[in-house]
This record gives sequence, structure tokens and C-alpha cells, in this order.
Amino acid sequence: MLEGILMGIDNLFEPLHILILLLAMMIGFLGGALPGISGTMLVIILLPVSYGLDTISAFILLTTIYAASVFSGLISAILFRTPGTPEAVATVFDGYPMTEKGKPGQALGIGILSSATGGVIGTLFLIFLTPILASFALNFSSPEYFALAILGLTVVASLSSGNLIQGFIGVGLGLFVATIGMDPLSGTERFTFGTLELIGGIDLIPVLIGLFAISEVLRKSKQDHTIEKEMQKVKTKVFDSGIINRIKNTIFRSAILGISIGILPGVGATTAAMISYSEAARWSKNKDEFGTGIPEGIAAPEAANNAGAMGAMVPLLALGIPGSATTAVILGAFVLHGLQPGPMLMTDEPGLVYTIFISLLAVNILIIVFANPFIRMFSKIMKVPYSALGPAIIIFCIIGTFAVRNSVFDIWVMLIFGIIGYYLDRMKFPLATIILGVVLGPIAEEEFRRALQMSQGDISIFFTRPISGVLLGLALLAFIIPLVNRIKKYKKA
Amino acid sequence: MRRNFLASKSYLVLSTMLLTLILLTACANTGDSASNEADNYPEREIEVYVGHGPGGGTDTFVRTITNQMSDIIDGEFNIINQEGGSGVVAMQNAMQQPADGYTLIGDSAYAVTTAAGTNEYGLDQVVPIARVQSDTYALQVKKGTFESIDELVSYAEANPGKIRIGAVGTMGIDEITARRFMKEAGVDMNYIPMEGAGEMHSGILGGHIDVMLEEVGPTMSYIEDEEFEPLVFFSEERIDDFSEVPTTVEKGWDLTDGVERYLMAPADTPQEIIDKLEDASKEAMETEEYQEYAENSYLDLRDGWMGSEDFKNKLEEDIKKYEEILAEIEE
Repeated sequence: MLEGILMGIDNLFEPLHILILLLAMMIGFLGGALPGISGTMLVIILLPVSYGLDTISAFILLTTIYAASVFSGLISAILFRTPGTPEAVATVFDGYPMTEKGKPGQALGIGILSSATGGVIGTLFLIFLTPILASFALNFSSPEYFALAILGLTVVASLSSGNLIQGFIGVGLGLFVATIGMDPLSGTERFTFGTLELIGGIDLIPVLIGLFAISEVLRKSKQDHTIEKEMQKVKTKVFDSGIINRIKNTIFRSAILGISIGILPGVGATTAAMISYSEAARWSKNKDEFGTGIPEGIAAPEAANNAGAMGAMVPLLALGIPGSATTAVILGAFVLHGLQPGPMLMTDEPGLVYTIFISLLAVNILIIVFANPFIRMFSKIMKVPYSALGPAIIIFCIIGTFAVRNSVFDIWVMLIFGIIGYYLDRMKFPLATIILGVVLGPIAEEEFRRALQMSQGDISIFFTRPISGVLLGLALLAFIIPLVNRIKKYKKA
Repeated sequence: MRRNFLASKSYLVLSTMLLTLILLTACANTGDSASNEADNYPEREIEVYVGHGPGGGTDTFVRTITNQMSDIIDGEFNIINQEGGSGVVAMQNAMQQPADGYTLIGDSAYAVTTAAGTNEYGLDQVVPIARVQSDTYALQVKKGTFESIDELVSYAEANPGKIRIGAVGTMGIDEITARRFMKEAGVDMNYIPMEGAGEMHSGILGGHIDVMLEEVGPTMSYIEDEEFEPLVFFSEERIDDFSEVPTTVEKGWDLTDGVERYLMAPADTPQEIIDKLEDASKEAMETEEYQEYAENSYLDLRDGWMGSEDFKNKLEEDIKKYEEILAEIEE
């Protein structure tokens, strides 16, 4: 292993490779910050470029872009309520309220610190524990995925900012949106009304961008604008000892949680961020403050999504099984470069694998170094009057949404969700719960049905398997404890 | 005054609406009228719609072949991935573009989706340019579970419905082939539709499914690592590298279909352009780079090449065949 690490360092510190790393970081930063342009898309766009490079350069390029974009999605999430990448969706929940409180610099600082720490922890796990983690991930099958999704869904209470009924409506709406399209198990069309566009389902990104970004631009357009008022100072403070003390445990816990979820094939960093935010809220002493712009609310999803993104590399490199959409593209890239992804990759190509490890580590450390100047550059945009900035945000949202599937229909979906989001926002409806349903709904449904198919309809499969049993038990407790507490309160009163 | 106007609400609303409109128009891609000048073709970027996710077998095929073709015809290809409905969504969007040779389709499921009725564009509306790959299925298990196909079949006979057989997706060629196998072999297995190849591989590794229908290309690394073992190949003749593994034909099962990967174009595309692209894909297929990829991914177990005319006839027959099979399965 030590030999491999040294080989990786040796490989990375060639001038060309360093140059590619820095360039890829810039591309990843920029792309990740723009809404709709996700890491997956950047990797696809740069695939043809990678043909022309030697294998090691090509994979430094692709993996660095991925890691950098997962990080920089937080910038527009925090400043404009526009998640730059799907992974940054949960960062909006507390990041933007903190900006509204006039502390965008602090919010960004917390985000950067948590991202970098999460990423580094994730990479260290990746380097040292890949074989163990990979075999742990194999214990997960449909019942476990279902249980995990259910545990994630029970957090609706802490996301619904006190109004549980609205929370349930939100999750229900999200779950409904997730069912539109072709039934993944039987191929039946659901709620498509015979239109071809709906067969492919409603993608997460248009919903996300519509609900959060478009609705916010609409809301702001109703406000009175004076240019002076929009002149905000964004001072980024990455190291603030008071805050670090407050969030260090959250970062650490969320990073571990992020890794554990990230390594599961087919789940990925977006779910990791979502569940980690939920768990942070559940276990926090001040759970009522989540969603109002508190440091823990930014630290939890950011530490988790960066750690989760690194976790997604575990099954890819150890087993040749992609843990997320982006790693699926990287898997294809291995094939295009004449490599055989699978359990033999680490044995056959140790130089390549360790170079990927080391460059991921380098990227996550460099995030801290480069984030400040980059954010300073980016936050100059905050000085632009909103009358110009608002339309620009909408343009980027439209381009980004279109680019996901090259679908004009998705743009309409996004605009419609923008209007829905605007009115729901005015009613103080917890938008996060809708996203919770859209992200976790498909996992819960598909895996529930697949599990039942595996057991031929025997429902005990969910309880007799240890991991799934424990997760469902936790979900049940998570559901009952708040109810019991509430009943106790009523009795006292 | 000017400053006030810029900051005013109406300006914001107006500019937003205008820009939205401009963008929507730009995205709608009106395109030029079809030019018949095949000689100058291609004059701009050629878009290839792929109805399957990036990184998968069909996507990798399209990217590799077009990468070679771009040198041959001196043009650029742009791959557009539109997942959904086994390629139906991508087909629909491609058919809305002008048939001028600048819109192509890379597919692997056309015959099945057409037979199932989810794809509405018949062979009078799309023409194949060429089939490039004809892949070979195998039934694979985790090494050490079943020693041979006979053992698997006799176990399945003794324990109907107990064996979990995985393949990717629902009502696609994977499921159809898996069900045809069960019928031909006279066994009853529990079919589990998997979300993707990755999930299927981890399902076998983790013991969550017992057997899977999969080509050997994507699993070669596992086979070399002695994790997976192919029990039977869906082909007429034995495969060189696996001379000890029997074939379906030997077993008396009439099952040799596999996944075919090909390029298509709207039927109104000028014939000269189709010819030009057909020649280019043939040449691309013969390049050293392509051959190396095909060999690495075990895509060369069967001759993949089939020209436009021949393949059109084959598709016609396949659609009829799948219509019958689907009707049988649904009963």
C-alpha cells in the first residue's frame, strides 16, 4: 500500500499532471457553481478530450472535475438559493437563510471547511479501507436500500419546521412526482397521460431548480430594489474557532455517514447529503433551529456530500460497480481507455488507482487554498443589481435544465415548479420535504418491490435480514418518539 | 431616470420574460432545411441521440464508433444522452429534427420497443445505417454455487421458483431472453428486474440473486478473478476463450439472440448520406483502435457487421418475432 501511495505521489507530481489537476479543478469549480451543470455533465463533456490524453492524465482530469464540482455546488446554493449541483440541495436549507441574515461569508466559510474536511476524511477511507468497505457494501440489497430510504423519509418532522401536516403533504407530493413515468419494474406507464415526454419521468434537477431558484427570483422580483441595498459584502472566513468548535462533531459524524451511504451502489452523494442533514437535525439539541440558517445545517450536508462522492469511488475502483451517476460515466471511461473495470483493476493498474487516490486527496486539500480567491471572484456577482442578476440566474437555470437531458420539456417542468414553489413559499410551506420525497421515493418504491419479488411476496424479508431490520427499527423509533413526546406534553398541559 | 428604470420591477419582469423566450427559441433548434449535397456532408456537427445512460454498453459503443468515424468523414459528432423508456424518448426527440443527416440515433432496443408498441416509429420512418455489434449473452453465477448448467437446471426443476435470475430492466430484450430461457429449459425461476448492470453484479457478489443474464465483456474482470463463472453461452458455436462452456444450441435450446448495437437515421435522410455513413462505420469498425476496444470488451465473439439493407430485413423479422413472444409472455 505504501508503495502504491508513493507511486501515486510520484505520478501526480509530474508537471503535466499537476497542470491538468489545476485546470480540472477550475473547470469543476466553475461548472459546479453554475446551476444545472453537474459533475456528471462535466465529465461527459470532457470524455472526448480525455481520449487524446494518456490514461493517467485522463483519469486525473475526470476524477478531479468530479470532486471539485461536488464542492462548488454549495456556492450558488448559499448565495442565490440555487443548488449548483444536485448534491448541494440540502445545503440550501440552512445556507441561504444564513445569507439572508446577512452572513453569506460565514455560510460559505462553513461550507468550505466542511466540504474539505469531509472530502479528506472520505479520501482517507478510500485509500486505506477500500477493500473492507466494498465487501460491506455487498451486504446491501433491496431490503436494506428500502429500509435506508424509509429511515430517511421519517425525518420529515424535522424538515417541516413545526408544521407536520404540511410536511406530510410535501413528502406526499414529492413521492407522487417520483412515480410519474414508466414504472421501473413492470414497465407500465403512470400518470403520463399518453405523452411521450412524461414516459421518461420527471427529473430531479428541474424540480430542484424550479422550486428553489426560480421561485426565489420571482419572490425577489416583487421586492423593492434599490441598488445600494444589494451591495453586500461577502467576507469569507474559513477558520473561525468558535464555529469550528460548534460544528466539528457534526462534520465528523456527517463525513462518516456520507461515506457509508456513498459506498452503496446506486445511491450516491445527493442521498448522502439529504440523509445526513436529516440525521443531524434529528440528533441535534437545537433541532427547531434547523432551516433557519445555523452552522450545523450547512456543515452536515456539505461534509456528507463530499465524503459521499469519495465513497462512491469505492465500489467503482474495488468492484467495477458505479456508486452514482458520475461514477457510472467514469466506469464507461475506463472501458473507452481500454481498461477492464472490476475487481482486478487495483491489482492490474495500481499506478492508476493510487494516482486517482492521491489526486482526490490533493483536490480536497486544495479546496481550502483555492476557495477563497474563487469565492471572492464569484461573490462580485452579488454586487450586480438584482434586476440584472435575477434574469441571469433564470438564464443559467434554463440552460442548465436543458442540458441535463437536452429536453425542452424539462424547461417547462422547471418553470411550472418555479411557480408552484413561489406560491408554496408564500404559504411558508416546507419545500425541503418535497425534495425529500423526490430523492428517496424512487429508491423506496423500487427496492420495496424488488425485495418482495426476491422473497416471492414474503414481507418478513425486511425484518429477518439484520441490517434492514435494524434500519427499519430505527425508522420506527424515529416515528414513535416524537409522537410519544407530544402526547406527554399534552398530558402535562 | 435610466437608473430607476433599470432597477424597476417592470424591467425585471420584462427582461426575464424576453430572455426566457429567446432561450426557449434557441433550445428548440429549428435547423436548416435538408440539403441534398452529400458531397459536402458533413458541414456541421452531427448529433447522435442515445437513449441509454452514459457509460453503459450502447453509449460506449456510440462514442467509440463515432470517434473513429469523425476522422473518416472529417466531421464532428455530438452525443446526446436521453434516458428513458429503453430509448423511446431519444427516438421521439430525434424524429422531431429535420432528416438531413445531422441527426442520427444510436440504439440497441429498437426491435423490442417497436414490437411492444412503446416506440411508434416503424421501419417506414427510420432506417438502420449499419449494425456494428452483435453481443453474446451468457448465464453467469458466483463461482462455487453451481458447477454447470445441468446442475443449475436440475436444481431449478427440483425447486421451482426458488432460483432468483437477474437481468437488466423490464420487458426489454434482457427480460424476454431470460423468460425464453426458462421456457426452453422447462424451468420456473424467479425473475428479478435489476436497475442496472452494476446493481446486478453486486447482487451476484453479495448472493442476493443466484444467476444473471449478462455478456462476458463487462464481467471479464470478475471471471479472471474467479468470482463469476459463465455456465452457458447463447450462441451456436463454442467461444474460443471458454471452450469448456457449452452453448444453448448444444443443449437443444433455440436461443442465440443477443444485444445488437447499431446506428439509425430518420427514413427521409438522403440516401447518399446514409450510404456515406454506412461506409464510414464499416471503415471505422475496421480501424485498429476499434478492434482493440472490441477485443478488450469481448464484443468480437460474433461478427457484428451487417449493412443497412440486410439489417433492415433482420429488424423486420425480429419485430415480428418479438411481437409473438411478447404476446405469449403476457398470456
